[in-house]
Amino acid sequence: MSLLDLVEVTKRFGALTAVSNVTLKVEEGAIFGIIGPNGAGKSTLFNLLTAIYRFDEGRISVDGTSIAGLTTQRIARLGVARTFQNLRLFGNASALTNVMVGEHLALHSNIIDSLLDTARERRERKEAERRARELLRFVGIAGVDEHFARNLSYGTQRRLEIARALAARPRLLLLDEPAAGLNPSEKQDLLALIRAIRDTGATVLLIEHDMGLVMNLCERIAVLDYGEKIAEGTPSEIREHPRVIEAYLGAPA
Amino acid sequence: MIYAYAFVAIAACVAIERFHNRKAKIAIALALAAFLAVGPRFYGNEAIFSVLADAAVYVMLALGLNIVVGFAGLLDLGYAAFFAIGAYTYGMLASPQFGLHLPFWALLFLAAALAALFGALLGAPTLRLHGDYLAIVTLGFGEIVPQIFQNLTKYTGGPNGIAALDVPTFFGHSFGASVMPYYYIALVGIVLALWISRNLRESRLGRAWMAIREDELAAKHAGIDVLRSKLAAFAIGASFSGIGGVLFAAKLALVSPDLFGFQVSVLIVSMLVLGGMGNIVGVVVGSLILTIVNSALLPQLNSLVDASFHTTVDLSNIHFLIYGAILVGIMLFRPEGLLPNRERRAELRNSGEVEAEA
Repeated sequence: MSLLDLVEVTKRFGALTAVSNVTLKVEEGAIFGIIGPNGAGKSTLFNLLTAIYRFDEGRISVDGTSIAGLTTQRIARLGVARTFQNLRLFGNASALTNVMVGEHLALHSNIIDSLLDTARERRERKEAERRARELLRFVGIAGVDEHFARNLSYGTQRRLEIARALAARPRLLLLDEPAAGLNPSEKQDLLALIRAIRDTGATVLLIEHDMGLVMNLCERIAVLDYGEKIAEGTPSEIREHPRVIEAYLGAPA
Repeated sequence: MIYAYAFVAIAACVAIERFHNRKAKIAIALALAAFLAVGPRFYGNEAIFSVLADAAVYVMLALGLNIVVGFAGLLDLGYAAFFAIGAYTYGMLASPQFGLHLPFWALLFLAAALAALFGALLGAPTLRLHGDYLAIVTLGFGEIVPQIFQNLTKYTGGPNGIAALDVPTFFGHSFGASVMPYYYIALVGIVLALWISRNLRESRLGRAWMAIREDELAAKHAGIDVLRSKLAAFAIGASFSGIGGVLFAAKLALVSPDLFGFQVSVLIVSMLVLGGMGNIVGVVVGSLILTIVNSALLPQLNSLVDASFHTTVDLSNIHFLIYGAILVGIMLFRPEGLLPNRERRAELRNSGEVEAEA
């Protein structure tokens, strides 16, 4: 069974069909890329996966559990974490606290623990802090722990958001244009980071504009155009696919 | 003079804020507590400690509202409603009104629970609203509650309220006419409220509130149950107010609906804004300053002006003008409040040091 399973998913906004009849399977342990021109429905698809939008038709399941009707926080409990195209960090909190929020589901202290600062609360806080520092190191930004997120450089913020998503120990990590705004050397680091994330056992599904990065990184790629999946395959298959070439370069005259 | 106590308390708060060393902070806090506890033996009179007891109740209220507004970012303009619920809990259950004379100490807990319950009841249908819309609904709630108490004449004494409330006892000793017991209870209340505020801020729940305040969508994606967290903020914040209400009512031996109007809610919000929303010590300073201005400075200013100019002006009529001027001034010159979140930064540094030592 695949970890993520989309069957004939459709999402309409009024007369516009943003996602049309998309079927997609992402196997556990994969690095899977979704590409497509601007407005192809990639981000909408992500937003369907985390219930920012509700899909109109079709089925989506994560590890066999249908997510129809589930709220964003319930889906997070299924082990889905994500980053955002336009970063959504907690700007007025330290980098460390940002990651600690990501660990929310991994902690179990309840309201009484929080009110009275019980032994469990203190133990979990200490452990969460330790793990958060570890994650900051893992994504390559050790040392920014105490800085406010909003004061960090753009590339660091991107990594911080990945660290926060990883803090939830996700089975499926959704990365929305992780390389946007990064310079070539930062992109190389990102490539290595995403591979390292996969090697920890997480499955990665990413949206990306940078063709080089996607072709290099992903084992499988799906191409969206006007909300429809026009192709799916390995990088070399995608590179030579006539409909993909048409979508990106325009139809031959 | 009352200003001596207020000044020492405020100076100590500022010092706690400025020092980055955790031990120094604790030492100053303990010294302040000792000063406030022992001070009355040497200096002061009932009038001073009456004002200080009221100030302490307001500090508790402000700390409670700080959880809702400062921590969770939910603008509540009807917070006085929970104050009223606490006060009427005592008024109705410890007075000749129904011939019920439940003990003061039990009612402290009951009022906290009732206020929390009503906080959750208000929250449940409204917390899907954001920002301005939530503020307006809470404003409405703040108007409705005193109206209910005013119109349920049969149970609440209507516009006249309930008088001759029981004088509390402590292991059989009546508080009598002295205000000192209220002063001490309110001090203990503040210590507890401060402790709980600090615990919450550093807790899993506190981090969830921060996340909701900063970016609700991102908070949901971290798996935070936004509605439950908001309800918890409303309930906990309201419970502080319920306890404050019991203290206030017992000290005054009277409750009436006009004591809990919109101006009280506004006053408490003003305390937060003045002190620095979200920052625990800042909130204490803000509420101390406004209560002292309100209950000591303005009345005295009144007699001072009258004596100097041989007039008979009533400055209490322009209290709101003065609050307004203070708020406008703060917003213009120090929009983050007198003592903003310096502490948070300092504490982060401290926790780093602690780790390094360990």
